[in-house]
Amino acid sequence: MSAEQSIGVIFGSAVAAGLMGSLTGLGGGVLIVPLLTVGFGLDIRVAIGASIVSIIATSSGAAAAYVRDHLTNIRIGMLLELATTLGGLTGAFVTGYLPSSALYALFGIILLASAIPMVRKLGEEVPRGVVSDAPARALRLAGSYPDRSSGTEIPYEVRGVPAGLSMMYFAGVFSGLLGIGAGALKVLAMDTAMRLPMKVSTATSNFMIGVTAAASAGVYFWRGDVVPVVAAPVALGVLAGALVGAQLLLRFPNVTVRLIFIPVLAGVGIEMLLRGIGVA
Amino acid sequence: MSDGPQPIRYGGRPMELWISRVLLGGVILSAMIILAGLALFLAKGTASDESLSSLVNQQKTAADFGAILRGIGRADGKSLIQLGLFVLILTPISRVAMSVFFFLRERDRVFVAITAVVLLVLVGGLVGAALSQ
Repeated sequence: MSAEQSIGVIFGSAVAAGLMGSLTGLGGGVLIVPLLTVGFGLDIRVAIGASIVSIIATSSGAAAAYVRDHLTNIRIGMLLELATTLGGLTGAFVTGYLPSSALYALFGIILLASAIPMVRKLGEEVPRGVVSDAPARALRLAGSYPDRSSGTEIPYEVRGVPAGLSMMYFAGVFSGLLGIGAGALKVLAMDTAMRLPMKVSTATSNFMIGVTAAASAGVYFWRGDVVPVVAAPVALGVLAGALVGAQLLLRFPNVTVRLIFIPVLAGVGIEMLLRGIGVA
Repeated sequence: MSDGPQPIRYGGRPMELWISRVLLGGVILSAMIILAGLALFLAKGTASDESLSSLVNQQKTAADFGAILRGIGRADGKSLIQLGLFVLILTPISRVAMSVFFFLRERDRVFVAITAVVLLVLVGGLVGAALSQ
């Protein structure tokens, strides 16, 4: 295959990854790295570099929409970015020193773990009985979001700020280390530690993903791991796929997509894990 | 039960709208530059026997801002793609910079400090990584 043909195929696959990523809520990144390494035989660091910039594109696009719809808690997002950006920088530096096999193994584990919330849905729509604790009150983190079906504003309280911050640091590390959005980890932190409503967690996670990714993307960019000939078709493709996916989401329930997606995720996860421990 | 903070506005529009515009504008601008760069790169063509992996090895070198600017001067597609990718990285950073400004206007000292530290981490990381190459 000539280089031009490869670029075309990468673009096409990136569109598919962006589409699947937006339909399942996983984001494209978790699919791009296996695609470029297992599919195209590229160095895992080049794959991570292309993935991290494509994540900025899709999450910024999604965040723009969520912010406009007042689902995002901007104050909570900005507070937690203290932890995610530091984590992102840490991750990006560490990747430079880890052997590829360790990156493969970690990626495999993350893929398998991200299948879990798809099997059983986490969290309540709006947690009950939450009372804002002292840090949350001091930082005025409580808020409300519009509920489309009832047409009312649903207020919510916030707690667990220190626990949320520490979990977010690790979400940032994984994002920077593996070139993923780590959206599942971010939602998990806001859901379990801070007891935010699911919709607010999801929107606020998206809001933070771009900033977190930007922290590590700079390191990858200057180090030369963001290879233009790979990153360009990946970023454009994932963005195009995510745009189409967002339109489709309005029309189709995502239950079926998830059911098809779980075995794919598990299969790719095992493949990456086996590569990491040197079996495949 | 406490109510959320009052919405922050500028020029008669809420902060949310400005953030949304900056994010969308940055993504569209960078996508257009990357697309132009890729088109230029493909139009110039590569050697017919060249494989993707040899191209990747050629391009897998530490980025250099001066070299990128000189490359754009001679209509080099690869450099234009790099500029687009750089604009993409700057997009969320601009959003944080804008938030510092919004919280300053609100005289919300705690959030000025929080967003300023985030901005410092982002800009420090970007500049530090550039200088350490």
